[in-house]
Amino acid sequence: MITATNATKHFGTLTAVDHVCAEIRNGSVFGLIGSNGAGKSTFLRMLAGILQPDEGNVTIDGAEVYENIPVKERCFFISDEQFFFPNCTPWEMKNYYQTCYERFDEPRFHKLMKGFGLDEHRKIRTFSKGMKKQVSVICGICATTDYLFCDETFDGLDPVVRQTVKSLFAEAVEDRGMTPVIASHNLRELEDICDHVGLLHRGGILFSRDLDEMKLGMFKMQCIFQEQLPADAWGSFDVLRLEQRGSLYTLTARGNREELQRRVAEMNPTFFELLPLTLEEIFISETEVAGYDIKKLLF
Amino acid sequence: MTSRNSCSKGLLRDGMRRNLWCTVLAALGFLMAQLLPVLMMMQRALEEQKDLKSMHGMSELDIMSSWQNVLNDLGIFLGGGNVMVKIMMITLGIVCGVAMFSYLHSRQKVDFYHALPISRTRLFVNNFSTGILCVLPSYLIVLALSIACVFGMGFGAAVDWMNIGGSIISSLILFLLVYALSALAAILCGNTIISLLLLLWLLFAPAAVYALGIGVSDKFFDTFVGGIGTDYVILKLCPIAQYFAFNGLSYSETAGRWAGNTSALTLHMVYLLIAVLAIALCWVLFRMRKSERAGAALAFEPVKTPVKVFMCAVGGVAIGMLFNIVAGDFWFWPGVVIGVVLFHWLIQIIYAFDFREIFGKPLHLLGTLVVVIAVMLACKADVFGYDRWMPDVNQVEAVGYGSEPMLKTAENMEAVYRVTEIGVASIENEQETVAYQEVAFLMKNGRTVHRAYHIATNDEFNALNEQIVNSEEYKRAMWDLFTYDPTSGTNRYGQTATAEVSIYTEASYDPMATIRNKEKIEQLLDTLRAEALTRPEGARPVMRLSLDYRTTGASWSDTQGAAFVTDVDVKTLALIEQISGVKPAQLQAESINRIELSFYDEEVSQISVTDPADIALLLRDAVNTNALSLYKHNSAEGGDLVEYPENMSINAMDKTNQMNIGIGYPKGKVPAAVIEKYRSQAKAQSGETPERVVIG
Repeated sequence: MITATNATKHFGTLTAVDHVCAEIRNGSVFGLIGSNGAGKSTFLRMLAGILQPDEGNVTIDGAEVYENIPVKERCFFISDEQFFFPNCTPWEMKNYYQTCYERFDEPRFHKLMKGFGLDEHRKIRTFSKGMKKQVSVICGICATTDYLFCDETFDGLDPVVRQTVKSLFAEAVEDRGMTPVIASHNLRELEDICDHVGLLHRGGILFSRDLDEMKLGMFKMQCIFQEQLPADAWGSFDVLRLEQRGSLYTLTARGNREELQRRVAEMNPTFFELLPLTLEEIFISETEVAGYDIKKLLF
Repeated sequence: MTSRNSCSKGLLRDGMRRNLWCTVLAALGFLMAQLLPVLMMMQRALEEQKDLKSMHGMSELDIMSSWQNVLNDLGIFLGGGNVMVKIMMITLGIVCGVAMFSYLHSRQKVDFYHALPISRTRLFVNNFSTGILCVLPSYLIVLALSIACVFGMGFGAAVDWMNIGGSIISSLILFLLVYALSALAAILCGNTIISLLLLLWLLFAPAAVYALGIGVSDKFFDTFVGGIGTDYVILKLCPIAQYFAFNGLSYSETAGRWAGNTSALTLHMVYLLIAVLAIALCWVLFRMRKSERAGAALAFEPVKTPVKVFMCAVGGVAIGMLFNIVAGDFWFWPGVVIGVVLFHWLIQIIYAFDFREIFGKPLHLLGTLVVVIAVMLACKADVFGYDRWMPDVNQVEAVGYGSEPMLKTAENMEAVYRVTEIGVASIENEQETVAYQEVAFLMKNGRTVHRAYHIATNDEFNALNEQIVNSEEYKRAMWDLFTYDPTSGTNRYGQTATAEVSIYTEASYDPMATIRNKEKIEQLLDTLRAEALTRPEGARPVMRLSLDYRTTGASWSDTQGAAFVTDVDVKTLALIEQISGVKPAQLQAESINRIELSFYDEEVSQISVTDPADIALLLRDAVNTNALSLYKHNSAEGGDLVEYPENMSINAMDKTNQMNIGIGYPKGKVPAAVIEKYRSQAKAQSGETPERVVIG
């Protein structure tokens, strides 16, 4: 299990990650979402042992990651800006990774390269951005590590490859309990694959929860009432967002489905609809509470 | 463990493969710098030999001599005298150091490498070893090929395995030093261009700072002695410059003259130690370096300000000194201000990669300016008491009357201390009659302090001076006669050499004889040493012995000093005559046309003496100072053997070859009466005719 305890990273006067506490269970697919500059990449680089936390610590099964080689042998990091040796081919990159990762699965590498239609002996610099991403993902999968840290990995992949990559991740999770930690802005992609989500905002973590639990604990409601409601009508609800247009109320609130349904019904609405939230809506609601309001950005 | 080892080897192999360009560059470079010139030299020598043999009138000896010269040149070329190989070594050291660690300057690459399950230590060892393995095998292989070609083409006699071994070790040490400093610069910086700038600083700053220190001390301190080994030290502080003065593990024949007292081997050991320390520092910093510093100017934030202040201070003083040289004393101060400001701006821009930061950190600028100006003013006012310094008598181990602190007897130590006191008292006391005197103190803590005074001469100083220079201890310490060791087998630069003594008389500027037999030289020196110590004042020097060493294979000998034989050293004179047949040859009045007397009183006046009687009087005890090189700067002994009439010079004109001969006299034997007669005549007539006055 990955544990971050008050993990903090400063870059000069900027605090990129601010006392983040999080736990990532083994075998889960963890999505790391957050606003721009929230510290997702920095947090991921701390998980991968590239950066050393200035305060707190990041551990895997109780052992510090930074400069801990046995722990790092269990991790593979796919950067948002991947590096390949000048003029090298996927085959050469595979050879290099083989010297670092003992369990590198070479037959699977050949199989996947073939499956993705990539030429192992073609120079990587001639590949498109998406193809380079594919090479990185294939190397990451074939390294057969327990943890795979992906920074914006789905960027630049076409829909078919995205689905294939998701399948590969799912397969690895199922077969050998791999734990992918995926940082992305593309919340729809994460929604499909992640079972756990951590939301970073301005260096701090807002929450880290099971996605289903989160979806089941937060709903969007639309209600119409015959009469104007008093100002404190929603006071007893855990409201994240509230909009009123005439007699139509649109709100996002926390709570379980039955309880919310029962309580709204008691208010005698003429129309009432309860919808589950998408991850994107959850993101917007949660960050809005933390002061990251799209309206404030625009107006 | 096996898996780790195989992983290490795999990484190293992979590193070598990825840096194949470096291996190719090294191989090509060494082929061009080593093998090709060797082949060219040999081919040309063979053609020249062929031409010489077909020429009429060429003796077998001439041909052999020419062949020997070629072999010598080739031997020097292979044995560390190849400048092109040195340039290649330095270039490759810089290129490899930066190339192997430049990944630290790119976030993309840092993320890649530092995410891998490889410890920083292993990564460092792997990168550092890759650089070495890219260069050194190429060097050794090309050298081996060159030697094979030398044997193959019949020049095998030129191969001196000792010299070649020394050359390999020297090149390895210097490469390692440059490579380590280059790697250090790359690790300290977050940007490759700035790494190269810092490397230049690392390579040249120690020498530059030392030279600036000398310049500033010379400017502000009256008693500062700048000449003692300054050039040697500056060269030694810049290893890449010093490297060109080496031939393997010894100094080259010409560079040996600037080497000072440090042997080439010792210097190599020091450079090796610095290289090892630099590698250790690289390793520590590499481990400490934060991955996120890729792209920053300096990778270690806390050193930014100290580095800036140091560079601004050095730059400011350097510009100040430059202004001082170009425009005079006053301009030193504006130069310092301009220099500090310019360097501050430059470093601000470099640190921020932003021209707009030029005016940033004004407090740093102000602070640096205040500190630099304050330190310079303190030097000018001698706040630290440099000029007034007197040693604690109880802490003095030995003293020097001159630059070397070798005198230890209580009398000499007291005398030198007193001379220093008189010197300190003379600093503020500007008088016309002054003597320049250097003194040195070797303190018990091993430190040597040098001072030089313009001393207002008086009876006390003259007496002290006589006491010191006439003491046996002074003679044994300062006279070349006693310091020259014909049995050592090496010269003062550590080169293998044989002793050689050439005998000069007043009759010629060329040696009358040269003794190369070690036993005879020892016998001669022992005899002269015994007589020289008991020599009375006023003894007339009649011969000069040039004490030389001839380096193995060299076509000329290297002078290590001079000893003098006087007319009272009868046993020595007899021995010289017995060994070489050489006798003293005094200047004869018959062979002199005229004698020129130049008086440097308030007005310069000259007079020619042609009266044979006066010429005879002037030449009775005269010594040909030119032929015997009787000058203080040539040897302590020679400078004390003769004296010159005050404020004048005497030159005799030789009848046969019209040579101008400088004249001096044994102590107390200046023909004052004759000289005074002509002085008054010259003065009287100089007002009438500015031209030369001829009497007689």
